[in-house]
Amino acid sequence: MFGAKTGRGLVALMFVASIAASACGGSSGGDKVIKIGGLATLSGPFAVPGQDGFRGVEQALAKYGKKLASGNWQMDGYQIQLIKEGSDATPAVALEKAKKLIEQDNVDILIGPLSGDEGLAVKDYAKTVPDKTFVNGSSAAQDTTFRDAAPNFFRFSTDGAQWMAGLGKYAFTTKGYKNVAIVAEDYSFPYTQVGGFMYEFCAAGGHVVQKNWVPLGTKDYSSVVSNLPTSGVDAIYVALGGSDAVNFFTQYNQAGGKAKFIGGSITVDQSVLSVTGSFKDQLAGTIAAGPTADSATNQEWLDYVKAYKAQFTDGLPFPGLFALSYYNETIGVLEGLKAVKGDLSNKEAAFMAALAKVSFDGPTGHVSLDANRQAISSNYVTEVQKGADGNLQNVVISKADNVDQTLGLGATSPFLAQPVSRDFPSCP
Amino acid sequence: MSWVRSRQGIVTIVALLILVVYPLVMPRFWVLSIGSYSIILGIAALSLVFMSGYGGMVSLAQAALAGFAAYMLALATLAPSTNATGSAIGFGLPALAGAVIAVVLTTALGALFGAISARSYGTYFLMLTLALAVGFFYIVLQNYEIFGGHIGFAGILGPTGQPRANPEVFYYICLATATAVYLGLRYIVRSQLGLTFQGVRDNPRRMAALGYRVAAHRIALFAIAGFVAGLSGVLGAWYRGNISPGIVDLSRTIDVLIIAVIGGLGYPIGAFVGAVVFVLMDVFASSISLFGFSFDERFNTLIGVGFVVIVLVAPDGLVGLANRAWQSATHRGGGRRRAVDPLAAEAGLLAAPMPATSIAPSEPAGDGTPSNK
Repeated sequence: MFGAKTGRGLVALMFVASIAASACGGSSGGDKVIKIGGLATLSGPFAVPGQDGFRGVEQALAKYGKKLASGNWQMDGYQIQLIKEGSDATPAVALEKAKKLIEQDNVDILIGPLSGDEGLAVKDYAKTVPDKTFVNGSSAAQDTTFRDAAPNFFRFSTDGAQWMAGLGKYAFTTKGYKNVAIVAEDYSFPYTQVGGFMYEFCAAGGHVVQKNWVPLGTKDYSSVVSNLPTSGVDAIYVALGGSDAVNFFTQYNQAGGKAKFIGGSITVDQSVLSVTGSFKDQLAGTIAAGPTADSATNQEWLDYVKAYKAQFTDGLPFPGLFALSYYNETIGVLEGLKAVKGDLSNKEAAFMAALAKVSFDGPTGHVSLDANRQAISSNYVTEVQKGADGNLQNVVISKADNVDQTLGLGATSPFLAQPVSRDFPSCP
Repeated sequence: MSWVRSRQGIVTIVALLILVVYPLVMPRFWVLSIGSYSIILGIAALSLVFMSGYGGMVSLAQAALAGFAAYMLALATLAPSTNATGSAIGFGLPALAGAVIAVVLTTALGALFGAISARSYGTYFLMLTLALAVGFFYIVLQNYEIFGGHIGFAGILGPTGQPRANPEVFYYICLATATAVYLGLRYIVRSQLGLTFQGVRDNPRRMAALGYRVAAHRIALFAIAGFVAGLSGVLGAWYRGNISPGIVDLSRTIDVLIIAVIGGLGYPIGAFVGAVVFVLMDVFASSISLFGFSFDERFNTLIGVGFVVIVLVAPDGLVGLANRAWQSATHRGGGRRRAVDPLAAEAGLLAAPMPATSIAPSEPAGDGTPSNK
């Protein structure tokens, strides 16, 4: 009987604790509390990036305010309470967690999610809750904002196609790659990345001779590795993220593959480069593009990195793309709140109007929003090189400012006539 | 005994009253994301409890069957449109017609799964159904022409539109379905067919010797479980409004088993008890802080520890635990233990609880001749 009683007591305790925690979460101090929900992936292939994303949120909050003993952040005249939820990179779970944050925790503003299809699902959900503000995390599918946008969904980070700005031209003209094969994950974000690369690469005259789409979370790449052409391609474009990228590079390296790589934005992110493995030598020389570059030298970036390293002793060697995206989104939210002095009345109408006008100089460049509430910002073309300390890092080749969602092609370009997909664009 | 029975009657009536009043007094999140979702998961787990309790078959294919129903519902009810490869999908049927089609097709798929796996037992049966579930996951994940690939389908509407618009109505639809399924399964297990299922469960060889077709009965059991899982899948699709391969992946497959084990694999009502506990833990684990340590980034650890604790203190599930407490309260000193679900016990059906032994009801070791020819 002892065991049974303890068991019931424990279960009851957990419920009480849970209800208590959700019912009276931090209401100390006289100032009103604005609740911000944070949503990132904390399990599955993007668990490490998800943690880094939350670091970005906390770094932005720490920049604008002071953390109180209650765990809230004190701002000028109001407090901010951050409630975190973790998903697993599937749209279904992201949606459940977003609903929990909005409907149960009653957050005023949601920041997230991390991954492409999650973002599309949350955007659709946002349309059904027009009186709450949704701000993207780092999800970068094109159609989260480009087609069928939600009026209360804002994105202060650039999308997966914008992250490719400059890469296609650089690969074709400077590197001289004419024929490229593609290995990418099979969902909306890599479609966007591949699309963004091909907008420039195909326009310059390059050919994409083969596309291999693999499920997110694939562990065994042997069939893909053996399917890749051994001759006739100059480079392999790899758009895989997190543990998927590590698995592919390891297995390609072990199978004796010698091709040069072109990376997607999260393929050669810090969270991948900081993993140890024999493939690291082969990664040196890989060109890629994305909104961050470890070796940038502008003062805003240096200050940002310094603050990151001071605040997170267990963080990555450099703040990754996910940390930066969540950081910029949170800065956008805090600037918006500052403009309306924390006033979220009237179904957050004034706040949303102010948010649409927010622009600021982020760590990597100026950020402003277009008519779809989508960021226009800077982008880097980078090359992986070994640093003095032996760590691989991205060295800046070139930087483009004010990259818009069409990569300068204009909304009427034939490349943007269809949503990016497995088969579009195409230039075999 | 009539005293006990009337106490049980009171408990049942009070429980039903609470369930009926629940959506009228609770906020929308609790009606939909806790209440309705628990019932939907409970129905899926009930299909597993039914198979394991009355057929001795622990199947890992129930989430896949539910997911199949959701996909069929999506294909039947979504407006015709062209997919990424340019071929038309979607038939634009009304929600209820789509639900009927989905459940019928899922019952047929259950029978097919049964036909594939009915001649294997114990661990081999478990592995076969796991293979079917994982196979189904990869089919929907990689098939873009019919199943829409990684993103699946969105915009599935139930007979009452979006659940958010009428949360109470959607809750009552789920509750009514669950009650009907529960009573229906109770009726089946009390019938001659149900007794035959249990005979096949306990001693397939003897039943074969008596002239029963063992494999056919196991296939029928799988089909019935497919029907139940299909109902869960249809309600789940209406609840979510979308369907994607994430709904039928490995962790969702195992969730169904975890729910059944938490409630108690031998107890039909345990499926719903387990589902409520599972959903509450899943939703609120990240909101819990103990001794100043917040689990918001480590909520999976808390969920895992919670399940281990439940399985340790209640090896035959929470319902088994409650039953033992009930027994010791009502038969103090009598020493008589009936560790079974009250409703089933009342009907005189379960001779003994199924858990633990039913995980691997291997063929009786004997002379080695095939049993079910």
